[in-house]
Amino acid sequence: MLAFLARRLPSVAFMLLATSIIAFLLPRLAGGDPAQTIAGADATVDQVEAIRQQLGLDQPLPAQYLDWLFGLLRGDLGTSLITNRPVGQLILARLGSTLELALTASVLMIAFGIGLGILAGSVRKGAGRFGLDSAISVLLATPPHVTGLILILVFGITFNMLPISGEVSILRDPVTGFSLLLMPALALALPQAAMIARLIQARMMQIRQEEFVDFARAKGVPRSQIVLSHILRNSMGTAVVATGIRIGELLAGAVVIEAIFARNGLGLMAVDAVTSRDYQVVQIVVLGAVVIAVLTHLFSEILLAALDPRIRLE
Amino acid sequence: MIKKLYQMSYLGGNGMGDAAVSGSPKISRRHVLGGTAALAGLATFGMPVAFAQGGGGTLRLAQGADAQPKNILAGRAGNNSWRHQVFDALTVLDGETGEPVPVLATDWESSEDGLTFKIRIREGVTFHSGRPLTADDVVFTLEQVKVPENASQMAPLVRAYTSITASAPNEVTITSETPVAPRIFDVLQLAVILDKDTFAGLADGSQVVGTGPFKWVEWIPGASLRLERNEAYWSETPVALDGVEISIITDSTAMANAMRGRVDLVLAMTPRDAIMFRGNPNVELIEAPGAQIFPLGLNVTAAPLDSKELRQAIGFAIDRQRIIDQVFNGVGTPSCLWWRSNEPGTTEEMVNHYHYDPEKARELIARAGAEGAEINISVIGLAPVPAIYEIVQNNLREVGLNPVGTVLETAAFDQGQTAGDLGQAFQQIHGLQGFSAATLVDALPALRDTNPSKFAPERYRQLKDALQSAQGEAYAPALAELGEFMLDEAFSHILLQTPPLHAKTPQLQGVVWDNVGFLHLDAASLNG
Amino acid sequence: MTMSQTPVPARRPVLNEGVARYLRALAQPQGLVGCGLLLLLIAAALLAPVVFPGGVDQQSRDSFLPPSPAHPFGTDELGRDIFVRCIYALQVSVSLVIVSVPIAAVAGTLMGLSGAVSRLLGEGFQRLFDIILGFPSLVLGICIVIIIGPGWLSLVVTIVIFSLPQFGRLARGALLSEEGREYVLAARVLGVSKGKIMLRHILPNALDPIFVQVSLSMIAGIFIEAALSIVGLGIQPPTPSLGTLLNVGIRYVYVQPMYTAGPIIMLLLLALAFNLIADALNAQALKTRGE
Repeated sequence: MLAFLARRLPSVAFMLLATSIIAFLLPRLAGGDPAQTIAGADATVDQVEAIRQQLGLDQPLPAQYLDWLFGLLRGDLGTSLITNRPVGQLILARLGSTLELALTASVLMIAFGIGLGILAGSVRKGAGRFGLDSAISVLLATPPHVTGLILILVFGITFNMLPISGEVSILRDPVTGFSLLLMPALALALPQAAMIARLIQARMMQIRQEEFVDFARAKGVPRSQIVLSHILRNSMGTAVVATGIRIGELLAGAVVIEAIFARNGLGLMAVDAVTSRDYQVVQIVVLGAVVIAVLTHLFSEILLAALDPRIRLE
Repeated sequence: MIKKLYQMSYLGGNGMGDAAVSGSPKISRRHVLGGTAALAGLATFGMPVAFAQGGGGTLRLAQGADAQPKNILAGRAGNNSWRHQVFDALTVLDGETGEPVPVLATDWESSEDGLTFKIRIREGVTFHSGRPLTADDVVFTLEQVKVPENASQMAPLVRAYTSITASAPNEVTITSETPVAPRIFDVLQLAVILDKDTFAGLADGSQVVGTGPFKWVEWIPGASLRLERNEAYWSETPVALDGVEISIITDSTAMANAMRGRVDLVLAMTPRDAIMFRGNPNVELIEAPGAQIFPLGLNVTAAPLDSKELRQAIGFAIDRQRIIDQVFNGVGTPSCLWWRSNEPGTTEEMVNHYHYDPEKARELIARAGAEGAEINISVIGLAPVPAIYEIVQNNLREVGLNPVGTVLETAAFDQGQTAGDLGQAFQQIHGLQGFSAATLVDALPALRDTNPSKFAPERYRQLKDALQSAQGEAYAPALAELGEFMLDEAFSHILLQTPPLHAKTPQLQGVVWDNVGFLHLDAASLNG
Repeated sequence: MTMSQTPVPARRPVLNEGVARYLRALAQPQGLVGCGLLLLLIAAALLAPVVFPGGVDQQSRDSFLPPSPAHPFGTDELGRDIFVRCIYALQVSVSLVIVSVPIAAVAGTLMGLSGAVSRLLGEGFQRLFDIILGFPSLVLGICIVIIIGPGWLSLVVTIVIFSLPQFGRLARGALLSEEGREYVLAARVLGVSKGKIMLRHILPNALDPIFVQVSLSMIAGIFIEAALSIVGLGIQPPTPSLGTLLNVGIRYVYVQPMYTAGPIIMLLLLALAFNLIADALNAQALKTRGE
C-alpha cells in the first residue's frame, strides 16, 4: 500500500498545485474586488483605492500568490478580507451546519441506496421490477435542487407537514432542528441513493451468475440466505466505493440545497464569499473541496482493496 | 395591520403604544437643550414610563445582513440593528421631525456666521472598558470619518472642516469656511463615538467598545451577534432588556419564518414575505424610516438622452403605483424625490411631479423625435431591482421606446457606480434616506458631482452650494429651488421610496427607529 | 480504477452502419416516445411566439390569478401567464444544451483521445478532468458567471466545462482498451500517423457510449442552468428560463404554487425525453455488443 501511495503522490501533488493556482486566479479574474465590497456601493474612487492598498491588493499577483502558498505550507489558511477573521475560524463556525446536513444525508443515502438496490436486485420480473427500475431512473436523473423543490411543493405546501426553510441547530432544539433538516437531507440523498442502488443492483445480477451461487443453490441453501450472505456480501465492495465517492458529491450538492432551504452552512458561505469577492475564503473553499475529493477517491480505493482480496492496489 | 411606529417621536417612543403617541407633546429643541439628560427628561413631561416595571429578558432579533464592525462609521444595513446599542452618537435625528436630539452632546452653539460650531459633551459617561469619555474621543472619531479606509459617506463633509479641536475637557470646537450647521447633525448621527484606545479591534470585531446601553459580547461572522446590558450605562432611566441576540439569516423567507416563535423582532422583511403575517395577531408589521429609493439614471451626454424632453417623457411613462403594488405588495410611496418628504421645502407637487401619464410621455417623445429609440439600461442584479426593470421595460415599450436591459452582478455594477460610469441609462438602489437633502446631494452616487448621469452644469453646483450654506429659514426655499431644477432636468428619476418593513411580537414594546432608520433599544422591553 | 457509467463496446462498429444503427435504436418504443416528446417540446418552444404573440411579456394588473382555462398555470406577480412563460423558457434551456453539449462532446473526446498522440498530453488532460470533477461545482459555475457576466454565454461555458470530463473519460477508456490491439499495432507498424490512428481506429469504438453520454449531458446541462439561475446567477430577467422562473417562483410558493410546479414539470419532461433517448441508444449499444 505504501508503494501505491508513493506512486500516487506526485500526481496528487501536481493536481493540488494546479488547483491552488486556479483557485487563486479564478476569483481575481472577475470584475469588482473586495475593496469595493468593503467600501460599499456609495464609495468614492479614493475610498476604494485606499482600501485596496490597505488589503495589499495593489501588490503584484505572483507575490500575493506566493504569500498565500507559503502561509498554507505553514498551516495558515489566511484571513478573510471582509471580516478580518481567520478563514479557519470562519469555516469552523459554519462546519456544524453542513456536517449536520451531510451526515443526515449520508445516513439516508446509505439506507435508501442499499435498501432500494437490494430490492431492485432481488425482484427480477413483473410490474415490481418495472416500477423499481423506473423509480431509480427518475431519482437518478433529478438533481438535488429539483428534488428539493418537489419536496417543498409536496410536503411543505400541499400537505403542509414540514417547514420549508430555515435552520435551527439539532443540538439546540432536536425536534425543530430535525424537521428543518429532513427535506434538504432527503433532497441531497435521493439522487445519490439511486446511483448506489443501481450499482448494487447491477453487481447482484452479475454475482448471481457466478459459480459459488449456483453451488449454494445446489446445496439447498434457502433463497433469502443466498441473497444475504453470498450475493450481498460480495456486492458490498461496490457499495463502499460508490458511497465514498458519493459523499464527496453530497458536499458539492449541498451548496444549492443550502441556498434553497436557507441553511447557513459552508455552501452558502462559499457563495457569499464569491459574490463579495472574499478571495481568501474562496481560495480555501475551492482547494479544500478538491483535497477532499482526491482523498475520498484514494481512501475508497484502499478500502476496496482491503475488502476484496482479489483486488490489488497497483 | 401596519402601524407607522416612527410617528412616535424619538423621545416619545417609550413603549406606551399608540395612545401615548397621539398625545405626545412637541418637544422643541430649546427644551432639550436645557441641559437635562434627553431620555431622563421624559419624566418632566409627565409621561408614564412603562419599562421601569420589569420587562427584562433577552431580545431575539433576526436580520438579513451581517454586522460590519469595521465599517461602523459608514451607513451599512448590517449595522443598523446594533450601532446605537453598543455606541452612542452625540446627537440623533428625531424619527418624526428630523430634528437633532442630544444624546452624548448636552448642548451646542453656532456662531453668528455659522462658521464656528461648539459641542458640549455629557459628563460622567464611561466606555464599556471603564474609561471616561472625553472630548479627545470625539475629536478622534471625527478624524476617523475623514480616513478613506473607513468608507464613511460623510467623509467629504468632515474633510471640508478647517479644524476640529478639543477646546475644553468636555467641549469640541469645529471651524469651517462654509456654515457647519445644519449638515453637521448628519455627521453626528452617523459618526457614533468610538473609543480611541480600542479602535484597532473594530477591524475584526474582536474589541467593539462604545458607551451605549449594551456591550458587544460575541460575534460569529455570518451567523450571530450577542449583546449584553451595560450595567454602567450613563442614562438615569434603566435599560430593561438583559441582552440582545441577533441571528443573521440571509434568505429573506427563512428570516421571515423565524418570526414564527423563534425571534421577537425581524428587521427589513421583504413585503412579499410579510404577506404571510397579515392578520396574524401575534405579529405587528411596522413601516419605519430609513427607506430605500430606486433611481433610474439617464446619461445626459448619451444621445438620444441628451434631449430633456425624452428624459422627462421617461418620467411620465412609468407606472410607479404598479411597481409598488406588484413588486412591493403595496408597501411604498410613488415619490419622485431623492430625500425624505419631511425635509423643509418639500411640496406635494414635487413628490408627485412625475406621475403615470403615457399620453404625455408619447407627446414629449414625439417632440423629441425619439420614437422607437433604443435605450440601453444597466440594472443592478440585486433584488428587487431586476423585477422593477421588468415593469419599466414594459412601460417604456408602451410609449414607443425600445429598452434593452442588461443585469449586472452587484460587485461589477458598484464598480461602475463608483467610477461614475454606467452607460446610457441605469437602475440603481440607494439608501441613506433621512439624512438632510443638503448632505444627500453630495453623498448619493446618483446625485454627487461625479454622477454616472454625467450631469454637472454650473447651476447645479451653485444651487447645491446655496442649499448647503442656507441657515434657518433660508433652507426651505433653497431646497425647493434645487429640487425643482433637478426634477425639470430629469437626469435621475426616483421611481419610488420603500420603507423598511419590520415585524415584532406584541410583547416587545418601546422599540424606536430614528430618522435614518437606525434601531434604538435602550427603552425597549419584553412584557409577558 | 475508473468507473464509467456505460460499458465500453468491445467490437469496432463500421461507421456507415452506425448511422442506420442509431436510427434503428431510436425507432424502438422508448426512442420513439423520447424523440416525440422532445420534438413536441421544441416545436412548442419555437411556435410559442406565433401562438402567443407578445404573450411572454404581456403584463397586467391581475397578479396571481389561480389556474384556469385561460391561464393553465395561473399568472405571476406581474400578471403574466405562467404557462406561456414556461413554454418560452424552453427555448433558453434547449438552445443552451444544443449548443454546449456538442462542443463539450467534441472537445472532451479529442482531449481523451489525445493520449494516442502524446502520452503526456493525455495524462495532463486526465488530471484536468480530476480537478474539474473535484471542484465544488456551483462555486466553479459562479466564478465563471462573475468573470463573463451573468447570461447565456456564461452558462454555455459552464455547461461545456462540466461536461468535458465525462466525454474525456469515455474516450480515454476506449483508447486504453484498443491501444494494445493487433490492428492498432499493425497500423502503427505500417506507419499510419498517430492522429489518423486516433480518429480512424480508436474513435469509432468510443462513439456508442459518447452518443449515450450526449443525451445524459443534455439533461445535466438543463439542470445546471436551473441551479445557477436559482442562485440568481443564470439567465437574467426579463428573459424567462426555467431556472429564472424557479428563482422567483419559489419566493411566491405560498401564493402561487404553480409558479414553482410549472417550470419543474417542464424540466422533468425535458429530462424524461433525453433519458428515454439515452436508454434507447444504450440498449442498442448493448445489443450490438452482445451479438
